[in-house]
Amino acid sequence: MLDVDERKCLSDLSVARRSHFLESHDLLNVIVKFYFVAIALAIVADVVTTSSNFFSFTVADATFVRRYGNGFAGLVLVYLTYLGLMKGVRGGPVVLFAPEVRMVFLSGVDTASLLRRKAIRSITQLSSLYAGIGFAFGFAIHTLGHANPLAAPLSLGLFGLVAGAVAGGTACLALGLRLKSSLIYYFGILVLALLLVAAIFHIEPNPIANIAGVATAFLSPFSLSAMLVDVVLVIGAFMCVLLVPRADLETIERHSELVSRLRFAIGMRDIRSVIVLSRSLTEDGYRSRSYARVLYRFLPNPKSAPVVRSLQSMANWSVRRYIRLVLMLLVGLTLISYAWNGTQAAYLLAVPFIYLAGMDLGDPVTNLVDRPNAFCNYPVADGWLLSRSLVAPIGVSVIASLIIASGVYLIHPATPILVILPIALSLGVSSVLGGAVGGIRSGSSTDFAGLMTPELQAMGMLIELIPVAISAAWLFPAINSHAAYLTHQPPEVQAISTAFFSLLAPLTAWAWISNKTVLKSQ
Amino acid sequence: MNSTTEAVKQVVLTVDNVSKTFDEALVLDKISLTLKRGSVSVLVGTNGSGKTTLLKSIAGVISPDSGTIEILGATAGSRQARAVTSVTFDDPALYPDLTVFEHLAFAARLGGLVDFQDRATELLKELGISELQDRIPKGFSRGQRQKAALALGLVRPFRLLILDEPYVGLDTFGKNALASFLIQARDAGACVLVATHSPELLKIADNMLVLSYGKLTYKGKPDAKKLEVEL
Repeated sequence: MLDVDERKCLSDLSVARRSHFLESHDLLNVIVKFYFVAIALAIVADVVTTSSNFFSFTVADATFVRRYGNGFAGLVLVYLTYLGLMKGVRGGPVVLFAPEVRMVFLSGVDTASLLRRKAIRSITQLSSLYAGIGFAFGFAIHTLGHANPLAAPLSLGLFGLVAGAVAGGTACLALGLRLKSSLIYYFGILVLALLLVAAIFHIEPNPIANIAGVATAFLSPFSLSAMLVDVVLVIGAFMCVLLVPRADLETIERHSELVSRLRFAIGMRDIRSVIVLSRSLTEDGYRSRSYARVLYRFLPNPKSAPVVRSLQSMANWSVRRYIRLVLMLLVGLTLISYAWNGTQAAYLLAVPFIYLAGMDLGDPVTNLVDRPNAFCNYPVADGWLLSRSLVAPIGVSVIASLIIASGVYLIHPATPILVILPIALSLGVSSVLGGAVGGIRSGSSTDFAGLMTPELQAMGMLIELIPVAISAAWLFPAINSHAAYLTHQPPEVQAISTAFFSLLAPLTAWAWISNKTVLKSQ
Repeated sequence: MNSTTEAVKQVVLTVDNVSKTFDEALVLDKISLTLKRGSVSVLVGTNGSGKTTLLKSIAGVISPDSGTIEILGATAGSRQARAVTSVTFDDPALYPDLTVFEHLAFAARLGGLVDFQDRATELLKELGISELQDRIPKGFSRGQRQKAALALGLVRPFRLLILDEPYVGLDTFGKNALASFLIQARDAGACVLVATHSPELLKIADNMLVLSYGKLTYKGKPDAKKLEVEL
């Protein structure tokens, strides 16, 4: 237990930090931020109210929820258990500590008590957040569906509370028992396999879903037995806190070291270090992901290493980056769809979005160019390495484009799917290769700018547009099929044939990259 | 009998047969050593020789796979051991929202000190960062952060002082101040263990420990030639 002086000292520390935090924030700045958040919320509210017909609760919906609601809620709980366990393996509530807390940990205070307090606070915050989300969601359902004014917000709020406790409690469990990530990984696979079996053989009720589904008060918010199970789950989560003092401090140490270096790099405006350290931090979480090791086991050929490495690099990208990529592709493909429906200028608007998405996806190659030392011992030509590193991004881009294109087709059914798909295929390949050429070329032109005459510099500007032109190769199938459509010819035939033709541009880019010798010349 | 008891009393740190592996790489290989009160020991070795891992194990941050580490009879990492050990690692970790003086105040108070103001002021003055005492460490240079971290490690009471690469980023003024603090600590009866690549510390050191690929290959008087060969 912490003694009185220690408790007072830690409390003073929190007060001092909070007061400095408030001092460093400008009131006007806060007001402006609130204003922007309010605007964003107003837009969301507007979208929701105008789409209320789509969201309104019908009798069929209510029947569906009654039948499958418990199962879905159970699934969410099982998934949160898995997430909580994985979070625990990576340090869970402990790594939430600021790195400077090392100072407290290395002093003579009772660290077990500190860890317990922190874990309890984490679980409480998580449960409150989830309960708030559940309540808001329930309130929205009530408003849109004119449901029972109490049942939906209360039951979903209660479900959120239990879900938060489960996620936090299992994180503490994994942390305290020092579970290995491989164990949890196999647990995840087992859950997935059982769910698949249940789905394929139509097992009713789904066994896995109902293990946790019993615990939810989703459909019976006032049922005493359900409430009892909820209470047991929450108490169980808090019992897991008792295990937290057994946590391995190595995790916090490794994490804190990286965070403190990152903060220093940010303070010094050292962008390169910030990027490298951010990647290291992501890899720190990645270290416990067993599927990478499994992947290596299945791909023993060293020549596949660049492909696996770039795939790993992409797996380490942040969620924010994936969202950005998906948004750019979505905007691009929606614009193509609009162009098809009459607004042809939308084709031109789509080009920059697709190019930017391609540049983002070509990141593993730009990494290679940025860090030649890490790869100079590869017993292969630089161009070979660069081009092989593009295999994974191209694959991901094609798959993402096809999925998003299918979605866009659903939104705008006037666009034939057999037109959208070849365009998406062409777009997936050309965007990454165009983006990669742009990434490799960026900066190199400035080396020679001083040697060029103004005329040549103007030419240089045109050369800089080549990557954009490569990434815009999908315009061929898009415009040709559209022209065919307008002249009452089958647009699908034009789309498919010109999509293959358009691949000439990215394949030329592939050949150019394969002959590059950039790494050792850096 | 009395002399044996006295010798035991003199011992501050006992590392016995400690081994540690990371991802199948043996980082520490059956390390054994004892350090006495009133001594300054330098720990040298090439990059990756295991210096930081050994220091972190002594601090209780890393648990060894085998072997034991005791500080004044208490297991490393235990509350009793931490209460007498002050550690400064090579990457200074400071709160981004506390002033330097507040940092020192909390470190001292957590160490059980009530009257720390004079000591804190003196440390900041000696290290040449008095003017930074009311500033938040945002935007500090590497050297300024290092000095603030060293002041933090020195302000609290300790019987064992562990410093990992303390000279990194320090100017000559800071290096001289640190050397004089280490001498003061030794004279006050503390045991000081410093991991370094810098030969300057040999002048004030009583012992030199050489780590090579996780093995303790030398343990004895400071030897500049030996250091040159090892590094």
